Amino acid sequence: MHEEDRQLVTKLLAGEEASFRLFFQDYFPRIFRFILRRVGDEEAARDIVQAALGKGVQKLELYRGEASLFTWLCQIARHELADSMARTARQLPILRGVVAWEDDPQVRASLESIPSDGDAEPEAVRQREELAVIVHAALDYLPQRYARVLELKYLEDLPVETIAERLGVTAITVQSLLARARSAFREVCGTLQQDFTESSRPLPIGTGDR
Amino acid sequence: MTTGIRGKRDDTGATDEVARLVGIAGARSAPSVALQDSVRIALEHEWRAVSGRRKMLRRRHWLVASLTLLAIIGLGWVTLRQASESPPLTVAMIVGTRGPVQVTAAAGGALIVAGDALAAGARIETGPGGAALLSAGPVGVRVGPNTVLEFQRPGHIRMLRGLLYVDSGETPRLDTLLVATPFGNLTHAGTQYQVAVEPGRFLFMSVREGRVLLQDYGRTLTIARGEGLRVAGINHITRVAVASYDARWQWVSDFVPAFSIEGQSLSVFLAWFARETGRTLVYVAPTTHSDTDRTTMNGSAAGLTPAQALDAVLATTRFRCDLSVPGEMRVSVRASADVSMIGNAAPHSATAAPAH
Repeated sequence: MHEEDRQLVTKLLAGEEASFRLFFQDYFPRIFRFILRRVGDEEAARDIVQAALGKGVQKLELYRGEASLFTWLCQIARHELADSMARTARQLPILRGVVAWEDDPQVRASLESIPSDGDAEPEAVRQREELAVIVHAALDYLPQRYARVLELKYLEDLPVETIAERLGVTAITVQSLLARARSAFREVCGTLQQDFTESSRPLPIGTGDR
Repeated sequence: MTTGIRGKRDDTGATDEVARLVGIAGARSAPSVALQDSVRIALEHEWRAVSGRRKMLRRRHWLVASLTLLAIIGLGWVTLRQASESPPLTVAMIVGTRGPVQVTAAAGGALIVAGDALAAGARIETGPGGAALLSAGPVGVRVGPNTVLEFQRPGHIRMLRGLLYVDSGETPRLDTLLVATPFGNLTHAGTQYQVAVEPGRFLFMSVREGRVLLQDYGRTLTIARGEGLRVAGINHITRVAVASYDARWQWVSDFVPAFSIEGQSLSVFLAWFARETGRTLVYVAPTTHSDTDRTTMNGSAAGLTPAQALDAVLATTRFRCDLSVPGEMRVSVRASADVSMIGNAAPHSATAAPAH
């Protein structure tokens, strides 16, 4: 059960202002990226996400916490996307340089040869973009405090003490949070990897620290 | 796996591919502020509508719950009020009265009309020559002269003084009526009995049918048919024989509930008479019994004593009744000469007319 998500929904239904701000800040960008990866057009993505989140808000009473709120909203967004496609009679676009990896097992091939820092060939650039899509999707799937601490640590390269100051927690808490975030990231990627059943090649992510 | 990308070493000293991948992927793109604002405004509007509706529904639920609670409380109050205002439980019915009889209901007022109900707490008092017929559930109660009774609750009579006769019917019933006297409590098992109470002096009771239990001073005395018991104190108990046709029962037969003869067979009437007078019914010939079974009566015996009713009924039949043997009533067919004197009475019908 996703107790934190259930509590957020309860507060939303009760009309608590802060909960709406938190909900929007936390979920809108992630759902937006989720849809944008599929439609490739910001305006179209905005319309779909706005409709999806609107429906989600209307159905909040039905949320029981059996799945995470993000997964629940993604499901609604998927339906909204399908409806939108049916309405406009258009197909999912084939995007240059950006692949909706959750929907296309072929993207797995790009993971086989992640380019090195010095590799600047066009193919290498494409593969790096595809990898970014995958990692960003995985980060979106994580609880956002996990994604945030991973980004602060590994993207902004901040020391643990600075992260602790930013998050208003102790350094020990940050260490613990990082450990759980890494584990969760691997788990999400592992789950996503199962989706690539058509491919025999695994994601380039191990199951533990080396 | 060789990817050509070096893993980062975190503060724990572990090289982590997670760090490497996050670093390669770079920052997640964020929707523009303008785009976010446009969606947020629309979504916030939707959210306020949803939460507002929910608040309104919740208020409505509370309102309905409150009104339901109020209705339940109100209903309970009305029920309690009705219960408190409803008449007390009926403990007996007045079948008839004769002479000076005063009945005081628990709430005050006098009730002396046949058919009136006596509620718990009612008091009945008869004067010299007064009598009352009552029914307490299945039990018939006859109140003699100079008697004071209180009906405390269903099946419970407090006898202060006087004379009381109880007839629980021919079917044995246990503890259908308790008579509390200053000398103890009387209960019965299918019986006819009478009790006389003189406060401060004695209790005398006799049993015509069945048996009666007297509980006093922590002991239980059983009085059987044909017995009488006099109690004048804890060690002053005397048993005597009291025949079912003893003169002590006479007052009981003087004022009886009306026997409805219309459509009844003569044999039923004769059995009633025998029971009312404490006699044993004897048919002289077996065929006589069956003949009385086939004889149907018409008319009314209301207002007649059992003896008067018997005379009235038999006068129109070919049967006769011999009451000369103590405790017996012998029924036989009249001699031919007697029958011829009956006149035009139909052989299989009897007619009784009340004495006025």
